[in-house]
Amino acid sequence: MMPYLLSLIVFLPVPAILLLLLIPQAKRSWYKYVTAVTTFFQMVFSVILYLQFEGVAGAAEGAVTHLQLLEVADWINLKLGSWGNLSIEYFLGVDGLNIAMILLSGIILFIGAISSFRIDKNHRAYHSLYLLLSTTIFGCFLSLDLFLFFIFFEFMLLPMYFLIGIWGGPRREYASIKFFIYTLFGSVFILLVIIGLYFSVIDPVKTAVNIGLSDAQEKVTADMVLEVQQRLGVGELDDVYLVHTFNLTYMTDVNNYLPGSVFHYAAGWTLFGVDARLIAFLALFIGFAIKLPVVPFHTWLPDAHVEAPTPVSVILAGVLLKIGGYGLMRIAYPVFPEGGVYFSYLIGLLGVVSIIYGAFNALAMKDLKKMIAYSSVSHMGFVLLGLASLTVEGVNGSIYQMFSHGLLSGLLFLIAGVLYDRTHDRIIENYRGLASKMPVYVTVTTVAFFASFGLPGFSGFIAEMLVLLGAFNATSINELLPRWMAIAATIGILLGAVYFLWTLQKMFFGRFWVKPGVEWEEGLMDLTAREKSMMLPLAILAITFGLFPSLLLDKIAFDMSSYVEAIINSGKANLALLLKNG
Amino acid sequence: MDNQFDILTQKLEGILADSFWLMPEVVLLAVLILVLLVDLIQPAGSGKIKAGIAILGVLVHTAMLVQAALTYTDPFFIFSGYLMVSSLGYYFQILVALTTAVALVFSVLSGTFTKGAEKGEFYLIILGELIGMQLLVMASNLLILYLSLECVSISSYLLATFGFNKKSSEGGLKYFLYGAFSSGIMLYGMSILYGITGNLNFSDSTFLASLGAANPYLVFVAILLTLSGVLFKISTFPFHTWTPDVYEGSPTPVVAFFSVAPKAAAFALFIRFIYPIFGVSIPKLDWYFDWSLILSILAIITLTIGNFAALRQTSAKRLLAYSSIAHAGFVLMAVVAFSPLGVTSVLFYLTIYFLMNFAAFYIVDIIESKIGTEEIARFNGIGLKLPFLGVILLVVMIALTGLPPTAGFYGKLFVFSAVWEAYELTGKNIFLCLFLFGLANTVISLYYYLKIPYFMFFRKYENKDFLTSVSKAHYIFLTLISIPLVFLFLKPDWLINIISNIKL
Repeated sequence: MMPYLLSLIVFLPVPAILLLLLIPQAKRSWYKYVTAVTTFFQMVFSVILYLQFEGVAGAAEGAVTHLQLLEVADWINLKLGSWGNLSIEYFLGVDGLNIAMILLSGIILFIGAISSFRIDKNHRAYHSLYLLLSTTIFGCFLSLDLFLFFIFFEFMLLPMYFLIGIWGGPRREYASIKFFIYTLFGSVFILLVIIGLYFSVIDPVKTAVNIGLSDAQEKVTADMVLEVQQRLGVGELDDVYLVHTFNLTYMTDVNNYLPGSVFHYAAGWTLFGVDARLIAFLALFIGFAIKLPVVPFHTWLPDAHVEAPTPVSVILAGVLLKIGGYGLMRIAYPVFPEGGVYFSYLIGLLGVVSIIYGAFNALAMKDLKKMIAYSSVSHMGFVLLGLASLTVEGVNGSIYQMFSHGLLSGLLFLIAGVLYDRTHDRIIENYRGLASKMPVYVTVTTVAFFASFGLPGFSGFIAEMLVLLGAFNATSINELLPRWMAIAATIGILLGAVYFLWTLQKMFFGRFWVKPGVEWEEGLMDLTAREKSMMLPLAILAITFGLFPSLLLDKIAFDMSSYVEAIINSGKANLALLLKNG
Repeated sequence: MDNQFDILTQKLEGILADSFWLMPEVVLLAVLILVLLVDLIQPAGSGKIKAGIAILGVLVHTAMLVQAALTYTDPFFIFSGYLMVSSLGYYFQILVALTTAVALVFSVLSGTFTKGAEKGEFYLIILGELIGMQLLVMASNLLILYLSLECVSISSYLLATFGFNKKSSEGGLKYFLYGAFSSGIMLYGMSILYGITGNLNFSDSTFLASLGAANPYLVFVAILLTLSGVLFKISTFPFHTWTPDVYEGSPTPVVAFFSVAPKAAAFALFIRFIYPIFGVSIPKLDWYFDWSLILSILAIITLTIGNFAALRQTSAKRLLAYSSIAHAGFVLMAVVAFSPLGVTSVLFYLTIYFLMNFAAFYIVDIIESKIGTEEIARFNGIGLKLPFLGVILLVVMIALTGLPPTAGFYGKLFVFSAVWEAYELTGKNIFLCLFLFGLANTVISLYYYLKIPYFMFFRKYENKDFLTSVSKAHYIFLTLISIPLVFLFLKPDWLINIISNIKL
């Protein structure tokens, strides 16, 4: 096993950025190769990581997931006098939750880098920002320290803001600031919870060293941790010795919460009559729902997508949206499991609303890219629905949907980009019968469209079927979701078939015709080799993961079942306590 | 006769012995006189020499303060209780001295401040103001406090007029009128405090004891009046209206200096003088004695006014003026927490604020000296033409918003943490309210902070060939003050561990 593989994946772009700064402007055609090579290696390393990842790891009792390849180092240690200490760690690791996301990011970022070959202004700045974005995306998926996660999460906004704002379409300025403000608005909710959490959670290992149970962190045993937790619980520990932490694995254990602190399950802090822990879950939910996006927080997405240049659209839909879903899975659910149980109906409802509302909007869109953007909203609704069901099938389906949608939406935006490159027009009704001019293009498009609305044999089918199974079974397994939600969601699939097939039929089949009075006909040539090299692998992957779901499920299913079990059990237990206190 | 003589000798010896503690200020005085002499001998064309002497003097002064701060950590009184030496005070003094040194360097390098930087008076006044601020930080007697506050104020009024144009004079006059008014009110409040306690020494335990025993309404009025003078200096609502006009009219190096140094000194005054007095009236339960409530509301209004007014600004300096009002609101948030963590965050925030505000004003100054205006809309395309300048400006604006990867993020994080801690300890909803308003304002502020980089990067570049040359000195200066912004993001423990060792 390669040591520091995770750090290598995250920080590989940093030396590449320095390299970009050294290459003179005169050689600006080299910049794109630096980006391509860097992201290629990131992809190779993430594939290696994926292969090394063990689907079934040693079962630790009570753990939410089984983390592998951990990299832990102290980053910031603050001594804040009588208040105690604050520890921020550089803490990376993989488990069933993020392994699929790493693989997806590796693939999509490389495809995006190839798609970036067509960028025609400010090359150095574009490629530096692109590589920076790559670092923050991997960092976000791999960090297990909430603070580190937040830093990457926030830092991601900046490259995105400029990538949309400088290289985007005509209304790029509006779209980029809207994207920035929306996401920042969401992230202040997350920050609020983060501050509350570090006031509430302590690191039992470092605290054990501080009170003299052990002289080094490595020598702290499980018994010592128990002793610290027990003494913490009865309020015996002096504040000076406490080490407050952002470590997510400590946040999932109720024994590490400081008695009387806001997020202690028995402290009874309320706001408007609702328990602080439930409020915190909601705040995290809003923060990540904006990113996902969930109706009604989705309005930034169509603008950002339409204005963003093709590679940025690909990354936005393919990877960035997944951070919303991943954040819910990684932070909101494990840290506040009772919120997931308590609000399951609401979350499921929002999922269904997103599915149907997104689909209806996609049906009405005249712009191909906008239609794809709304189809993303609809597809992300499935992620939410599967998660809300808190069943093994549902949560597996959520991750599968994120992975599958990552591949497919990347492909769809590339398809829109191909057309836009040739004619600078994406209005659906301006085209008819493109199949006769661009056969390969239309074949790929057909595959992408069929896969997107969930035809069996493609990855989208597996994902949506798992989610629907989970949502349907939730009624009998854990009584969290009513049956009609699953049924309503199937309407979403139906609508998906309608808008994809309709568009396919309108734009690509029939006699060739384009808007009168334009000189597009000569320009409409078929896919170039570069375009094929991006689109064919994605199409092939969509089919591969549709035919062999075990490729992914074998890696994640083990972790997902312990994840669901842990969330349901501690969620119900905590909820009973909260309701008893309230 | 002999006996009296002995007492006199003893007192004199005491004064002589205590003078040791004022050596750093004595150095400043000597430098001031030296600059005056140089100015007398060669009034014209010796700007660089005078600046050099002043900068060197302030640096020596700072070094002496650092030396003293490292040696003496426990607080004690000198000059029979007129002044107090403490590590908290030293931190503020070092911050104020460094700010002054950087402001002096700024004024030498500035392309817009050529006329003022030639005049010897500028250095005299700025050194005088520094002495005033240092005494203000050390003051533990109402008389000294008032005298040093006036020393700071009067120097500020004069400095504001150093642009030698109509706007500058107007700003100076407005500053003077508002300032005179608020220090009058403050003096009135102090006289009531003296009337109640019969004591000028506010660090004396009897001072607080007699306040606690007096009529609470009278004490309330006295505190409110005294507070107004402090609020004026930190430009908090309702005493903020002078800021935009003064900032717009005054020379940029002076504005950068104003936005940090006197504010830091005033916050020191807040912690040293007002905090203990609040402690006396906090136990009373009536709402109007709840200072955390009153100050929280002031902080909320200040934040909101500052941010919303900044949204509409088209001039970079006015924008930064309103932003500095909003920042005062943020520091006030930390002050309101009334806790050691609160004080820690005040110190950290002010230090970061010093760096980022100077960098912001410096870049505006460079651009103004090149294109002749500080209208943001005219900054179009500069970021693409001068990427280095643009990137530093972006970092600074991100720091002012309080986002990673800059130390501005920790500044905000600590302030919010202090408010959160206060909420957890007291359970008062006003703290939660303050917290939420602070967060909402952070989001709003992003909009206007990004306005400058937005014009610099997103708008097309016009023919501005004269922009090609920005001198190396500018870049070195900018790099030096913005590197800590990024470095302290990676390793904030370096600074915060120094601050939390300070004994309050």
